[in-house]
Amino acid sequence: MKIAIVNVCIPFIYGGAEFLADSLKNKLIEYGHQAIIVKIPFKWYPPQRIIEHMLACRLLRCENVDRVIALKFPAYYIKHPDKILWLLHQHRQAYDLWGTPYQDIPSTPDGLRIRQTIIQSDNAFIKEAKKIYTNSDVVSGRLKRFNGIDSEVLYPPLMDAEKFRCSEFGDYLFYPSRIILGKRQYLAVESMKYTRSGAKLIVAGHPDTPEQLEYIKSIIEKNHLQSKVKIIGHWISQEEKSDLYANALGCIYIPYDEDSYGYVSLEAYQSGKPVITCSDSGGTLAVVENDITGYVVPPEPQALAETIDKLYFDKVQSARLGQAGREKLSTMNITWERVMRCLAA
Amino acid sequence: MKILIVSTIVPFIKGGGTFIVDWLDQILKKYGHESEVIKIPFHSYAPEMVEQMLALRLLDVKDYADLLIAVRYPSYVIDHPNKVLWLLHQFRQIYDLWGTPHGDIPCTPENQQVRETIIQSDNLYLRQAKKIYTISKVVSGRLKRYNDIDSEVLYPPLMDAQKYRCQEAGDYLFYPSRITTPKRQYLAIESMKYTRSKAKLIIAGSPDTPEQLDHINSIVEKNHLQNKVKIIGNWISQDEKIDLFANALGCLFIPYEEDYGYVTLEAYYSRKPVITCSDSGGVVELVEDGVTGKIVPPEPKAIAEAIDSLFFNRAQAAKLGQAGYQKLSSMNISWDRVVEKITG
Repeated sequence: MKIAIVNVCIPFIYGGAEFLADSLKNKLIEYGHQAIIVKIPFKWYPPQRIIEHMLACRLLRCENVDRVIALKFPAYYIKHPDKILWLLHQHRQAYDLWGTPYQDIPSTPDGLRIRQTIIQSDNAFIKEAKKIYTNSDVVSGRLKRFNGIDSEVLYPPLMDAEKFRCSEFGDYLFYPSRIILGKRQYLAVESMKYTRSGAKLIVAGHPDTPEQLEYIKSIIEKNHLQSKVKIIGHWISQEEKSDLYANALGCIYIPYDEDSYGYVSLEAYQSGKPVITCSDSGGTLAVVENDITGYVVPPEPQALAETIDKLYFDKVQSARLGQAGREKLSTMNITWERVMRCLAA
Repeated sequence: MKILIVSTIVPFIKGGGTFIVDWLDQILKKYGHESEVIKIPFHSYAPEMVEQMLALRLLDVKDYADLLIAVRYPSYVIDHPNKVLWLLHQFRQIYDLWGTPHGDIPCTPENQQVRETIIQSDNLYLRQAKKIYTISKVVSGRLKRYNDIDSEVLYPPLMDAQKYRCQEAGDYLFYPSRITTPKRQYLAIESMKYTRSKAKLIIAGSPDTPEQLDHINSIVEKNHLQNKVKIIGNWISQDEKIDLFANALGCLFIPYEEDYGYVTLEAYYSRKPVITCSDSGGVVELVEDGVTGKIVPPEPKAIAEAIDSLFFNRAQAAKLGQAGYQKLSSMNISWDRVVEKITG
């Protein structure tokens, strides 16, 4: 089959969604399909731009393609007779973030109209898909609650899961992710002020802007945490990453209110390491169970510091939690075989 | 500099128009720029063209890059304060091919309106570019004639040109290209009916549709040319292609009104002469009759004669191929120049 994976993009930004699209493409090819990724640029400011990009996606055509797999808002508006959704995001500012500080669209008459247009278009166009999958319980729940649309959860597997391994339990917690406010690296760094053990923190990732990186560094300096925190402020290779996982004491992944569990959790468990996450991190809670596969704590530096110390002082327990995480993954049926059955059969 | 290269594609169709984009991206990165390619699907079906152009116009990428390079039509409608075009071609169906047997858009009132809209938006949006380069004199000429817009020719170089080499001249002419009607593989095959020498023809390329491949296979069969013509009806690897060039007697490249054609460059880097037709467009800019190859009318007998003359006079064939190679170096077709022009 000739399959186009249709996604939106912000040029020069590469994150989990882009990685998922690349992985999906490679797997489709491995399974004997022809596959390409179609990236449509997206801009959300000023809010009027949202509507214009929705319209653009609707007006584009994807010919010479047997099937479209659409991932994100508003790429899934593209017209195609054989369209399947693997929904990673709606435009959350119009839904659950409306009425929060992250709303972004003003509550003016114009803003309200934009919000209405997004909701109505989602109501009308999402249903065109032959089948609707989402990447998490959170996304499926939201789609049901706000749009009354049923969907099935299809968890995204890791690419090259076999490359992750567990070597030893070192003295550092590992936090790999794009460096951006929503991932709250600043919170991870601040928690290191309160640790009493010899635990260290390694933060690695590409900053969305140079300012974000400067900000994190300034927190370290202000608190004299240079000996406890190391920042690798750029994208690291797969090998470096799997090495850093393999020798970590555990993993910290504390984004604010994410939809999916994030690759970080999968990678950590695949490496046999426990995951510390926050009670408001969203999707991670689908895989991180407190005291079973890691720790779920309130988003406060002292609480985080306490769990970091706990892992440091009881490495046997860390290993046990990490092992339980790995076992949990296998019971959840997060496999590419299943993804191929759902999306490319 | 942050550079966004935008182009349009028909998904799963590869050719010169997709390579130029990928190569430019690689080269810009090599020169230390941050670059990213956006390829938007575009479908040249007249009743749906205007809305697709509107879609492109609605995409707002102004904040994302310092420079926007637009390549295949109609990606140049995308807005950017610092936009440079390296134009492959316009939508020829409404320009030079309109009303000709090669046009596939019927001249209905509705289509006439679509045509008007596209011409007007070309007139408007092409002019918003800070600089306009095209890939050949043919393309620049059309732009001047139909839209009265001036442009500069910037011939696209090959990637990894040094990999092409010349070995012994065999007994076959090589025609590598997508298998599609405008490339006129059918004409190449028909000319083989009239050759008197033992020259053979090897055609290689991915067919745009299975029917196109069936069609040229049927011409071979009908004329009992199985001994003289070999068709490799799929995309061949770079290494296979280089080998087939290296051992060829010469190259046959006879598309109808081609815009440019990498095949000519590949042949010359392999020191092989090129036989082309007087109506092959941009190819004629690179082939000098009797100096680097042969230019003949698009008729089977004339092509057959040119093939035979290469076969019977191998020393001459080698000399033409060598002259083609020298011509390339004198034309300054290089990535250094492309980067300097586009980012300068």
